[in-house]
Amino acid sequence: MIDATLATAHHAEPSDTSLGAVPPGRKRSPLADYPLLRSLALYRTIPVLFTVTLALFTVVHLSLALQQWLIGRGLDAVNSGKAATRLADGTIDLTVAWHWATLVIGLAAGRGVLQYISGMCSIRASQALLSTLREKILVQVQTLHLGYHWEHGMGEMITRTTRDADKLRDALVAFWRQAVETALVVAAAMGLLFWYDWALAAVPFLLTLLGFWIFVRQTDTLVVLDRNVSDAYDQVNQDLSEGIGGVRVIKSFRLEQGRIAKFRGHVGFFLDQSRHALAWCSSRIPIPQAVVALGHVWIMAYGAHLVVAGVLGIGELVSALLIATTLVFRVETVGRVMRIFADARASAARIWDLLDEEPAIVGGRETLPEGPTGFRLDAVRLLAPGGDTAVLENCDLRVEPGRIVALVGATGSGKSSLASLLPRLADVSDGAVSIGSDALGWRDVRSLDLGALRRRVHAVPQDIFLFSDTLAANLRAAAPDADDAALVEALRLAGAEELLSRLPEGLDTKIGDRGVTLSGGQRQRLCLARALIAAPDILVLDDATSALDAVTERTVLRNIRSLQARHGGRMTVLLITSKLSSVLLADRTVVLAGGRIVASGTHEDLLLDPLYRDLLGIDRAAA
Amino acid sequence: MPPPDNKSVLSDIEIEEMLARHALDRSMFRRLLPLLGPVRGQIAAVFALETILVAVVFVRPWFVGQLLDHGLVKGAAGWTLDERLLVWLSLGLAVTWLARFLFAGLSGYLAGAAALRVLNELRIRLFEHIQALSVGYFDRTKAGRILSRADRDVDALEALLVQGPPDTLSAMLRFGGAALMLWIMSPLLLLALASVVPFLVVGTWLFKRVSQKSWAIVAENRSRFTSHLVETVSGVRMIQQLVRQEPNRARYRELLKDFDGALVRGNMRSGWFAPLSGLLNAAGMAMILLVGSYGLLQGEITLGELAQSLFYVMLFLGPLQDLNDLFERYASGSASAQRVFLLLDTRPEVLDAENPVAVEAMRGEVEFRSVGFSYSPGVLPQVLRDLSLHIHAGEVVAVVGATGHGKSTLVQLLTRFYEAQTGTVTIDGIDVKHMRQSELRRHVGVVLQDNVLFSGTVLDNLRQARPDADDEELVDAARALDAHEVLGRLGHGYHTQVGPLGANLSHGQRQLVCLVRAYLTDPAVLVLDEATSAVDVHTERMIQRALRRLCEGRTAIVIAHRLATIRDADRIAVIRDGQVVELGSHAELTSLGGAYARLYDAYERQSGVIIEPALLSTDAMPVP
Repeated sequence: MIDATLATAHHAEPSDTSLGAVPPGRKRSPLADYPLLRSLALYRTIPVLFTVTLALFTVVHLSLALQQWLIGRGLDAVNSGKAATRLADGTIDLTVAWHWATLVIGLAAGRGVLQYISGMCSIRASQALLSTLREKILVQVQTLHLGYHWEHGMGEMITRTTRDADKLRDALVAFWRQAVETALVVAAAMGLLFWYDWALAAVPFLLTLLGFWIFVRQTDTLVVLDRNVSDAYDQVNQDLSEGIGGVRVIKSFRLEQGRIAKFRGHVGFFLDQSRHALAWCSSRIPIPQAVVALGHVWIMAYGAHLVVAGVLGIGELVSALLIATTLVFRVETVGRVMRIFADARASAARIWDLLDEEPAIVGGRETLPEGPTGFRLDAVRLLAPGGDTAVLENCDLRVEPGRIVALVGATGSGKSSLASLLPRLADVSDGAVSIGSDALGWRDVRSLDLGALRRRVHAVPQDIFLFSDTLAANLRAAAPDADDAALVEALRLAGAEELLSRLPEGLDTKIGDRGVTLSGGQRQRLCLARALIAAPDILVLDDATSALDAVTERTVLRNIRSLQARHGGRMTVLLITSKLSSVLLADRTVVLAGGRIVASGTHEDLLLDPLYRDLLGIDRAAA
Repeated sequence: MPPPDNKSVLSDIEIEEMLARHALDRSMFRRLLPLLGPVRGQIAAVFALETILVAVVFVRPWFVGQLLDHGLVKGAAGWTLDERLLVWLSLGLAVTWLARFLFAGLSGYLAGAAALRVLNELRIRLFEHIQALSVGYFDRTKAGRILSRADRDVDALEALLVQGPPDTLSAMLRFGGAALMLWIMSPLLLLALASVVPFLVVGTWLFKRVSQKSWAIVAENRSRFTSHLVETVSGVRMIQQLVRQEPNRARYRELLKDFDGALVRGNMRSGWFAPLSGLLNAAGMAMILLVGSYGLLQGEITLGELAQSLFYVMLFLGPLQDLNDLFERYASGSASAQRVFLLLDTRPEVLDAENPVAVEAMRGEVEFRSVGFSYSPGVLPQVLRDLSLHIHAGEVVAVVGATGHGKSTLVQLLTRFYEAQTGTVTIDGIDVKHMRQSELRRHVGVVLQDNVLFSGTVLDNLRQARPDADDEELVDAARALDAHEVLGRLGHGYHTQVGPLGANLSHGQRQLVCLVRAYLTDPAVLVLDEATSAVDVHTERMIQRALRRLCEGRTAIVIAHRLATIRDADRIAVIRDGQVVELGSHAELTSLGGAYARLYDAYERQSGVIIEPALLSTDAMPVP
């Protein structure tokens, strides 16, 4: 019941998804305000690889400093005339020069090998991290309640795994290639400079610190800018997915130009936002870069004095200047990296927003013993998403195991909402839905394990969805170990036997993206077959035979009526329908109007009810 | 759900190549260049700025050389320093740095703005193209695959189109400039450096060859896992219902693993370029040291020049690291470019005729003449076989028949979503193939089984049919169809947000909106394909009264399973196995005692007009 209050509380305010809004009762991550760090912290799951990569990078970059130092020494040797000497016979002895050259090349070769290995390690590490995140997103997507998806739309989910995940990837690559490298290069360069002379190093050091401080200050604005850009991009993706999903309607109504204009508008807005962000970056980021670059000037000016003072050799001055150049180039890329990081921070925040979203529907621990199962609604109230209007109000209903109950009501009276309550695809706002029987006992659906509940209660929705896979795989989604004979039998029961014979590769035929190469009626039959093979205790058909012709529909419903659930008894069926034919197959009919159950009884009982007659189109004369 | 074997990694691309009916054009530059047309000016400016930037870079070592050769003078008592010169040199150096960042910022802005413009133009073009593609393409291609083209693949072009050229120019200039400076100082130094160039050339060539192929596989794997995610989002209800979360996650993990594998393999093959460039850099410096010490001894160069040349080596080989990034992005960019062009090359299967017949007004006489059709000729059996049906102008014809016997296909041919392989479909005697699609669809209104709405309010959706109508006219249309009773009761009435693809409304409510939308277009031929299957009978009857009014003066083709709906039709066509088997009025067909009579009999029993106990027993009706 704790889950219940949580879920209801959440249901009441589903739009509250802003950053850091954590539902009560959930432990807030200590890094919640630092989404990028929080993403990087996932490296803790691969400690060995991370440590090895970091160690390799350290070695590679410290050896770069060593290499520069060697060149400085070599130059000193050249300067002092030791590198090349003219021998007595006039030939030139380059032994010492060769010595330095070999040393430098040897070191560089060793460094190259390590660099390759470290590169491979870093790509593995960052891919491992990204895959972990991507998988987390998918898990979250399929765990979140339907209300969340209706509210957020497909565009947003796609942006999370594509654009946002890519931005994060850029940051991870940059983390290794630039951030770790830059840190090490700065450390190595500073170390060497300090080793030469503390005053020579102190000024560039302070300038570098100042530069980084400015960078960090700037990222806050960058994050805000990127957030605007991303939100604009969500719209672009939503347009795209609607343009693909609604193609038939677009063509029928010649909406192409309108859709394109709308898309153009959203792209235009996205463009404006991006350009605004770009202008800000291009004008502000050079400031800290220039600050750091002044260190180079200092080294030349002060270094010259040190040479005069005899503290620094001329070779050392050149190598210090080489190092400073490396440093400035590094810091220059930091400008780019900072932007990548800022973008990634915004993206990471959006990803964590999604991942932190508390699934409104969480399973309980209890189990219900196997056996014939019915269901019960007690004073059920259901609020419309985000609204104050009630979709269902004070609904009481009790269906004994093995019964077939029809549910009729006008369009928009709350039939489908009621249907999604049983397998807990949505939760009640008030009251309770229970399954069980007097023999087994009744259990609130919120107290039951979700997977177990949904295996026992199967709702076939109006919207047909087939996985883009083979027919067999689509059916086996409901019963993984069913053999081919069972699949064929389920298809027969769903009136799809003929369809099977028409498919070129039978059960192994690939069904298109959303099963669209089949007609609506054919797709519906496959959905029905999938529900039947699941052999649930309670089957909810939400107008799931609407696209079938009269004859097929009757056959299918008759098949369902005689069908047995796994426990051997008859299935309990809730039949949501607007057809009298289906109603007549039921033991009892419930009439829903304005979210309330207004009448209940057999066809004969209800025949005189005007609403019932009106809904089913029973002519006065026929009665 | 079998894991994909690596052999078939590119097979999806091949399938699309087939769809595009166009070999993949591998020399993309000819096609990419025109995209840059609108931003020529900006690109030219970026090129100019890059040139200035390179020039600035070259000035810098000169300051060091000047300092060593003229500022610092080695005397007997050690070094003496020309303070005045040092001040000038320091100021000069500071100015070069400031200029560099100023120009780099400007160049970055220009390049970035150009990129945004070009890429978003391309995005719009892709979207336009997608909207122009035939329905068949969407029936066969996963939504996620199409999405990832316009999304990620377009973005990946940035490096190729906009960052690439100036960066390459900059690298070339630095390369050439450094070579020139070295040559001026001493040809010997240049020769020393030249020894590493062959390695560089071979390395670059190999790198390019290897990485291109790897990135094509990476891009393919990426679009696979993206489309899996898209499918998960759209099927989340079924996944939860079927408790498929675990297998679905496992499948996704599999796809991610493939992607990671491809990426890591690609990097293993191409990741040696950066270390190689580092090695060559060091080798170049070592060679300069070696040759420099010789030259110094011979008196051919000065120490300042030697130091200066070390900086030039850095300039010469330094951009290799950038070049490495650039190549990587180039490779992934060209893999994406191929995919984008593949989509752009996909011709719509249904095209407007070259000289379409202008149709001002239609009477609405529809004729199907010996029409034959299969969704995939040769693979799938024919859905329609030599079907002929003549519908007079202003006539209401109902089409009945079992599921999957070709009723909806008839509609798809009439609206030219698909094209008949044999026979013709004409309206007013004009072949629909000879009409402009947009004109045809202006006169032929359809309400389909999959009633899709677009995010926005109910009014927004209605207005799509009549962009110039005011709110009152739209609501009046709903009233005329008796849909006001239901739509007016929505949470915020006609201003209710329908959600993505209309998800916030119930099935029946969506159908009503679609009906009103079709009504608003006032077509000459109205097609209702199971348009009222999800509304209750009460509502349906209300609509029916309105539809009867609506059908007056126009041709109507009604497909419905509820036979009561179509009883009043002028004529009823029964379709079986892709052929019209019976045709006539309700009275004629019931008295004929054929397929329709049996169907109607079954329907009547079902709909309870005749209630009899035999209902639940087996009957002799053949089940199609």
